[in-house]
Amino acid sequence: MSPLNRRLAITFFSSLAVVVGADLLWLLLRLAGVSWAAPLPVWLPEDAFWGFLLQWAHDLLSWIPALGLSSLMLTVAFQWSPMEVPDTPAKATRQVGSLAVFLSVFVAILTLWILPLTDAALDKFGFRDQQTRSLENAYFALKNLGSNKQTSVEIQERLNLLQRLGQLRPNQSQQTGERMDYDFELQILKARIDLDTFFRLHALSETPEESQETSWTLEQLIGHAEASLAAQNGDEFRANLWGLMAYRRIVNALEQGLTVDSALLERAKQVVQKSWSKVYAKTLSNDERKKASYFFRKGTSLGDFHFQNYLEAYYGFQELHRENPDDAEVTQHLSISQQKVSQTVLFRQDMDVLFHVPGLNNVIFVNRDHPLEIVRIGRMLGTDRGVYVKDFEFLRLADDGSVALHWIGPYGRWTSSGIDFRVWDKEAPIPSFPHVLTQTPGNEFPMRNSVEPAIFMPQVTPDDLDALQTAKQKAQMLPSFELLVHGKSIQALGYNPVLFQTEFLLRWTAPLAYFVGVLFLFLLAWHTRTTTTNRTWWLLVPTLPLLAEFLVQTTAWVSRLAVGGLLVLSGLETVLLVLAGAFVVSATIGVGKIYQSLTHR
Amino acid sequence: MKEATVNLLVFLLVFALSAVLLLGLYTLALLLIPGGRGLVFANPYAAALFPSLLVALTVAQARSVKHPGNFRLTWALQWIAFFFLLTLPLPWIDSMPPVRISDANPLRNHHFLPLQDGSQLLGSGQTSVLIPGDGQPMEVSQETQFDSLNQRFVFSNLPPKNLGSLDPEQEYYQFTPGLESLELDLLAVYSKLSKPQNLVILWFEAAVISWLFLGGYLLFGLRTWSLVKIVALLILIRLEIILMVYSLWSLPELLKIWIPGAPALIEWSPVVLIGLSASTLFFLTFLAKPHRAEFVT
Repeated sequence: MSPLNRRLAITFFSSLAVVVGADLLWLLLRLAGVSWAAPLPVWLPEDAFWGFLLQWAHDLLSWIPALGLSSLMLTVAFQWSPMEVPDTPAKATRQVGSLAVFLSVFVAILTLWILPLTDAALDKFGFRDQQTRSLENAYFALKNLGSNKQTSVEIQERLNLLQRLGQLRPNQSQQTGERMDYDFELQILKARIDLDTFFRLHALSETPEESQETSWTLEQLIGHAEASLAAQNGDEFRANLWGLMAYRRIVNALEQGLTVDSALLERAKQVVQKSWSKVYAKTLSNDERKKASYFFRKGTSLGDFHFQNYLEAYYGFQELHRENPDDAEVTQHLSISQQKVSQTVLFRQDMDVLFHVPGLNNVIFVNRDHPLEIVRIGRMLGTDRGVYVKDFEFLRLADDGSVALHWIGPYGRWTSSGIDFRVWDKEAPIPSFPHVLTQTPGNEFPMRNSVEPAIFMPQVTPDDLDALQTAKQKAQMLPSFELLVHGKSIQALGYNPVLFQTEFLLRWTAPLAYFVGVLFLFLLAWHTRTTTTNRTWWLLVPTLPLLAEFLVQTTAWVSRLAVGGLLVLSGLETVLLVLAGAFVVSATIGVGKIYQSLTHR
Repeated sequence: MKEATVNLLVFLLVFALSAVLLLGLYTLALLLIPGGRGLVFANPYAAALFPSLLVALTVAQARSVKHPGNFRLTWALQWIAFFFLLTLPLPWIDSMPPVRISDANPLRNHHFLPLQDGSQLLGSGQTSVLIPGDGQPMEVSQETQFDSLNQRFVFSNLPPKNLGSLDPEQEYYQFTPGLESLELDLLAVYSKLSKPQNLVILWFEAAVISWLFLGGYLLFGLRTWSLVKIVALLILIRLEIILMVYSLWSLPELLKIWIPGAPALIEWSPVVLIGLSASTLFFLTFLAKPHRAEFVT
């Protein structure tokens, strides 16, 4: 290692040590919540340690370009002895040039690769926290409804939310101070779902509790129900109600984490099943007309199933299952037809659960220029099975500026073949198709047949929309290679491409600009160099990096304005040529001046 | 005499070049940010005045200590130039109409523009489409006018909407935190000088401010290296700007609370404080003798 490089390394690492300490102190102040320090981002407990380290590393890495420049100046001006400069100017210039190349490559790796990576990792930690909070809030909103008001759909929603939370944070149970324990909640919920299905299918009414029953204990409720069933003239309806009430109290106790006597639960189950069987025997089995209807509808649903009309079969079997949950054939076909249907249509309730997960919000874009079509997607979520959209709004303008077509689709799935808006209610054959606000002759809402909406094919793909959320925030957050792609396509979507093109050019030319900066700062330091021994220059160690950071930031801002302005005036290709020319000229001048200076030392 | 004149010319030339550069940057910012929102100064000439003076003075000082000629004359000429360039353009700059294109319609065809309430506006000729941010359906306005005075859009069939305070362009091309703080301080000083209560006080204020910045010569007289001097000079200038803001804004307000009913004291206090600081620097400069210092190089 040459003396210049060795001394530069020593100065650089000394400055870095100062910044490491200062930055750590600053982060600790932020962590402690000091009022004048901006608070740290919120992370999940299991991410907090790595988040803190990553934030520290990110802050330090951001300082490195400025530290590099200030260390170079300090080294050349105060530490590089004339005795250590190579004999010939050519050799000395090569040494300085190599150093400039090394520093520029280092900055290139930093700006093009490492800093976007740390940015993305910090963003991911923030997103995980946001996603967890959103899912937990949705879970508590459902749980706080109380067991009496929760339908089977809502219980299923809770299970789905818990499963998503479990995937997101597999080791959550090991953390302390959490709002809830996912594993414990999951165990309770799973135990409840089977029971809930059984009790709901065997419940006869949803009559609220009377005051007399409210005062009864769990034991008394079950005892009265059993006595009523055993009596000659017992009331099966009341026995069923009391059994259901007993079950609800058991569930409430379970939700609160209390221990429940499993024998009592079994007795409640027996009461409900016996009472339901008695009522069923008195009605359906004795009523030939109802029985005939049941078997006729079962035959129709089986026919739908065999002819692959799975949606009709699904609703048919669901109705039959409610009437007779003990029919194994119906239960089996219901399960299969539900699986088949879920491959082709969406259920509204499933979509409600799905969109608890955070995604892109309020995505707006121009679908095409002529006729002008504007699309707004309320929410958009990418999954392995496609991209799901919520509150999809489409508006087409006629040439005279009037509305030609305007519709809103509540939910849809966006695949390579387009967006499918076929959404149905899970419990009843009620469609949730797009709602047409305005349509004119020649601009009708497209239909697949007389009932179902056609697949809608937008002019863009979901990948094209990735940059839209960023367009509202910062172009700096996009990965380096995607900037050019989005810079070209985003104009068609109704956004300003100059920001993306500027960021692309600046990010890729930053190392070249840094190279030129190193050359000229070397010259400045060389002309202001000293040969005497005085230690006061150490005062510059803490102040010069601050000044260098200010200069780096200001130069970046000026470059942003200059490149952006040139892009508006002359286009991307011309600016590329101008920047390349400017680099070649300034680098040549810089190297030439260094050669001259080292010749006349 | 010759060196003093050359030093003065360097000062004037650098001032002109710096002003042109800053005006160019301001023009680019206007070109890139719809409506020019986010710029601290409404007037580009006002934005260019102080930074250009400071850059010019720093460069001229650097040359003057190497080629002082008649140093007293050099010093006096620079003081006079700084004083007149600071005071004479004020009425002219103030009478110039704001160049910021606030009356231009920031809505561009087939481009979304954020509005203050979170909605977006898309223009297409006279027609515009309003996309509310709260999930309400889109609305079409056949006629849309931009009310530049109130910075809002007026629609033919919808209530008016204010222009957004932050758009992607403004966010991307915004000042760095360091520059923003500097610009705000300079705006505070400029706005105080450009609207004087009393012309005599203005001249005194401008005189002591010029004197204060000439105090930078002190650093050139210290026995230390050029790089240390450059860094120290830049730090000194920043501190002097903070001192001016304190003297011209904070101190009079404090005096109004502490000693109400003493308008003369309140008006003259900035002059006194800046003058004291400037005279201290001048005295130290006189002792340091920058034109005679042996430089450690």
